[in-house]
Amino acid sequence: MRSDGAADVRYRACPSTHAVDLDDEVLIWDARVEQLHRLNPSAARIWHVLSSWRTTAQVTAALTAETDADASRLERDVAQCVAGFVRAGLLEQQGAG
Amino acid sequence: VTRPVTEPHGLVTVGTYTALSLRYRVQASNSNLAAEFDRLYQACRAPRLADRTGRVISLELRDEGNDVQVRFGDEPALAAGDRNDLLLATMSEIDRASVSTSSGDLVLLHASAVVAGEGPVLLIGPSGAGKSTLSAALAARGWTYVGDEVIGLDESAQQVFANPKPWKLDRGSRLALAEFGCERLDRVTSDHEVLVAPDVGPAHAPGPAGTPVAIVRVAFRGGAHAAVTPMSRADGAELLADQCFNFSQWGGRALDAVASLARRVPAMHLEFGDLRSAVTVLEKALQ
Repeated sequence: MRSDGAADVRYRACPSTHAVDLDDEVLIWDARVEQLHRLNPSAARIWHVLSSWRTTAQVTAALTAETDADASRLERDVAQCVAGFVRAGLLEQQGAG
Repeated sequence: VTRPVTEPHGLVTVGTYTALSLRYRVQASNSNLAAEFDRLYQACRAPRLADRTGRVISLELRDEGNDVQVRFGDEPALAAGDRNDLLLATMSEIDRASVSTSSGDLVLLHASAVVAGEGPVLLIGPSGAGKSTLSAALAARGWTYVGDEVIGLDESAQQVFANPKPWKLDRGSRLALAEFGCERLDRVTSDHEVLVAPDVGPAHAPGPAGTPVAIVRVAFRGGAHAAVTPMSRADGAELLADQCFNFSQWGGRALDAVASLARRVPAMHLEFGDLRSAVTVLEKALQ
């Protein structure tokens, strides 16, 4: 069976980012592009898991324990959120081919 | 009372003043202009000791016939249309120089500040939000004026630094303030913005002014009913970051500072359409 390897890609917060927690939200300063980002509580939980290298499956697994959300929906939400972080330049990647 | 000293090259020494980390010595081409500047910036006068220490930038005001100019330090002279424009241009130059000089020392907020009770209240918002007018009204009500336009905050966010410079007020603001016992303001008939000395009430001396106690996002909107609504800590920190002159320079350290402040003190949004109601609801909210 052929795999495109996407599931093996690991992500981690870029070293250029600096984050602070404010209640259940997170503000992130990206020094590389000098931009401030604000994460809602859901995105903030995902961000916290990405403080060390994780695949999206590992992020989903970490969050499953703390939420009642449907597993497939959670997986989809995590994938979308991580893709958003990548587009914003907040994550570095390993194993992206 | 200090007596102006006429320098050999025809400039009158007005005095030495401070704007956060900036110290500047002012000279003017005539004693009337010197007196006018000193009346506006009296609250910013440097302590006598400071006259002889540190770096002092020279600011020259020249008002000789058609030659109305301000020169700050080594910068090329700026020409202005008249004396009012000259003073407005001078304030812009002082603000700009205070930001560049203080940028490495303090987190610099685009804000006004007044002390009510225990410590400074930061009034924050973009240009035109009503910060200056509101701080002038509160000063006229007896709150201690701390500063306008550029307010310093130390890295621990425990100390606000005063910058009690004059307010720049348009005609509408001056008319609104006349209701607060600032009767002389409605006699300033110019339709243009003018500088107003912060002598309508008590003013804090330049330097440390205490630990901030509240963050208020100011939002003037014509016809709006005055109301105060609480803001989340993230809203407060984001507002401070957005209205910080040197946030990019300080980066993560600035984010830590504004987050620390937003965690400690309440942040609120004040929308208002008339000044008297704004003062009433804000005083009530801060009690």
